[in-house]
Amino acid sequence: MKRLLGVMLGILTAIGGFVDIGDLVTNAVVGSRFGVSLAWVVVVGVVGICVFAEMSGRVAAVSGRGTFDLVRERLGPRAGLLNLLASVAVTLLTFIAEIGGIALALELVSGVNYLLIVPFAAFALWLILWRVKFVAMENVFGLAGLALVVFAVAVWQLGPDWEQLLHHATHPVVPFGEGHPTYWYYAIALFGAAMTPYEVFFFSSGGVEEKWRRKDLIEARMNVFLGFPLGGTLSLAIMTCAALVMLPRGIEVTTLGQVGLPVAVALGKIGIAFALVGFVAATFGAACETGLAVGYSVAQFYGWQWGKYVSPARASRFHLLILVSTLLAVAVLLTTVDPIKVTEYSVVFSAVALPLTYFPILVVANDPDYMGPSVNGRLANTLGVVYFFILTVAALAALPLMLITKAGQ
Amino acid sequence: MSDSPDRVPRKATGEVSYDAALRLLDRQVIDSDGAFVCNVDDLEVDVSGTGPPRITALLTGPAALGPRTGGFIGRWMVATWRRLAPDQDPRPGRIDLHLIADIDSAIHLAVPRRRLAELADGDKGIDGFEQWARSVVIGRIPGARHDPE
Amino acid sequence: MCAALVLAGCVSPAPDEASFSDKAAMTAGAAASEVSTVRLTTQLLLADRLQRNYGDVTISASEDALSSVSQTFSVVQPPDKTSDAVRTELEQLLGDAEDAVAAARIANRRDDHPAMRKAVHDLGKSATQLQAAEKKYG
Repeated sequence: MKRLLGVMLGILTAIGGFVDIGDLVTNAVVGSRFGVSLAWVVVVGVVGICVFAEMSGRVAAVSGRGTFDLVRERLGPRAGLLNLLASVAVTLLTFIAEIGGIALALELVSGVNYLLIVPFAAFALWLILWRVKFVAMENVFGLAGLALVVFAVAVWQLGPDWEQLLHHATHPVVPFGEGHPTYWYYAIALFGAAMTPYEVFFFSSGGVEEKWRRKDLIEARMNVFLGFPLGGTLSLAIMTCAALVMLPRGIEVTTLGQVGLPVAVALGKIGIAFALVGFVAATFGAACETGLAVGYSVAQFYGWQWGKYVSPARASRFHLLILVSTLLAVAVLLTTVDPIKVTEYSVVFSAVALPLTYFPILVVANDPDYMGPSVNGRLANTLGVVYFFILTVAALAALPLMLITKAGQ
Repeated sequence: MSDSPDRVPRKATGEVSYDAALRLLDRQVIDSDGAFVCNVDDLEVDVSGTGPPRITALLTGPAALGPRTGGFIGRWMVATWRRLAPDQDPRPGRIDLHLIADIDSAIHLAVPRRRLAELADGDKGIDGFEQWARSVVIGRIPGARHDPE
Repeated sequence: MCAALVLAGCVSPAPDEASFSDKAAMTAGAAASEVSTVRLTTQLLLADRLQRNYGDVTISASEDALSSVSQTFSVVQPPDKTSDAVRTELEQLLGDAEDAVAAARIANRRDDHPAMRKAVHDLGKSATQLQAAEKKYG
């Protein structure tokens, strides 16, 4: 019974933790401009992250070590360092976007200007990463993130023509007023938002934090195969809400406030209350994950002691890195750069970095030194390679499309 | 520790054959308590005497990784580290081969971390940055020694 | 770089009529989006379906965005007489939009229901005109 509760907790946490500021913004923007014609990208992205998250979780459970440990060994120090720089740059950008998201969400709650909130949010975040137990952190933010289910409820309440919706989703057409390059640009952005690179570092290092062993593999897999797809449906719900409420009114989503308006239309103040809890939990949880992911990647590359499973004094460089990253994030946000713009760039650059960051996972999961008999089977490798091909195409197309569409205008 | 078929062969004296030694590079070094120590950034090779070159120690730190990385990044790494290191003529961190207890996907030492510092006679090569970070920044923040378990 | 030029008081170039009317269409579309956002938010506040803080923050954000969109357009040099006419027309519409949005903001903060209802009406008119302009120029 206790085991069953544990499994349920894991799945629920995975669902609630799936959505971050990138998903919130990108799905709403896409829904408001393209309706549900890009819904298929979310599906493809969710399958992709399931494939790679399973691999990275398996690496943690079987070898007891994080993924970046092997990057250097396999790619050599120079290629490994370049890989590290790219991954850390993108993860840092995402980290900044998430903290910005926390401030925007709390602004909606309190009415206080988000710039004033940034330092406090960053401090609270750092404090959590300094002191709160890993498992407690994951559980609280994961469960609170479930409040975003309100978007699914809102879709239901809005009473759409389901047949028509399904038809638009399965027969995608570029809407009038939008160009083909913009369509594909947002497809890539949505893909980057769904397959966030930091997720795999975090998932595999998190597995080590939680001391996964081979026997935990089944539980880890259920978290991935049940939790992530259900989390993906929350993304689709956000997109559909925007499609149903914003698109007919000609509203293009550009702020976090607009993301939640459909919930107010469908469910009123109670709905908004849930949405706000969801926004704060999603952004806070993701900020924790990205902050830790930066620390994990660098520490694992250099061989430093890392993790929240030891006292901070035992992993000083790791914690110093997190502290510096947090201060850097505050500095960047206080330049009054629009956090939504930062988010949009972070998802596109995530897409660009995807092949680089996922390549090591594929390699590690096939390495018998680490994995013993648990190396990738045929299915995992086939899917892994197919997705790797898709990732590479998306990564190569991202920057040209960004230039052509002027970042999606 | 896995029963990997590619385990590095070791002779009774603790020496490692040259070809197999290359597989030591870039591996995580773990001490006897399970704590992470460093990464193997380079190897100390003894080319004196007859016979093939012998590996005598593991090297770690920017002084070791920089030259191996090579190019502009490598030189920059070494230059920065030289400027920041407290010693006059800083040397890379060195771990003698006889301290190795076992090798699988990582290198497991027979001694705990603090013993390494003692053996190195205060040489900051292995743990310099960690000690600096702890004494200057992290150690001063309340709760730094709080054990999460 | 364009921002730097704008700050220096220079005018940003629109080399031909087509690209000017493209910019006009984009401006009209963006403005319509913000106006519609304020309208929807005001409606929700009227129906007590939205928290005040949330509504206020959203309307302020839209107001700032609208003003920024207007300013960006106002420094674009119209290349010929036809574009002059487009410019005049759009500037009028943008001015009306900014007025309507400001009125909505004030009415919402005072919780003045009759004023809010009037704002909803005016914002609706403004949005429709801007959307029509977007189609015309684009």
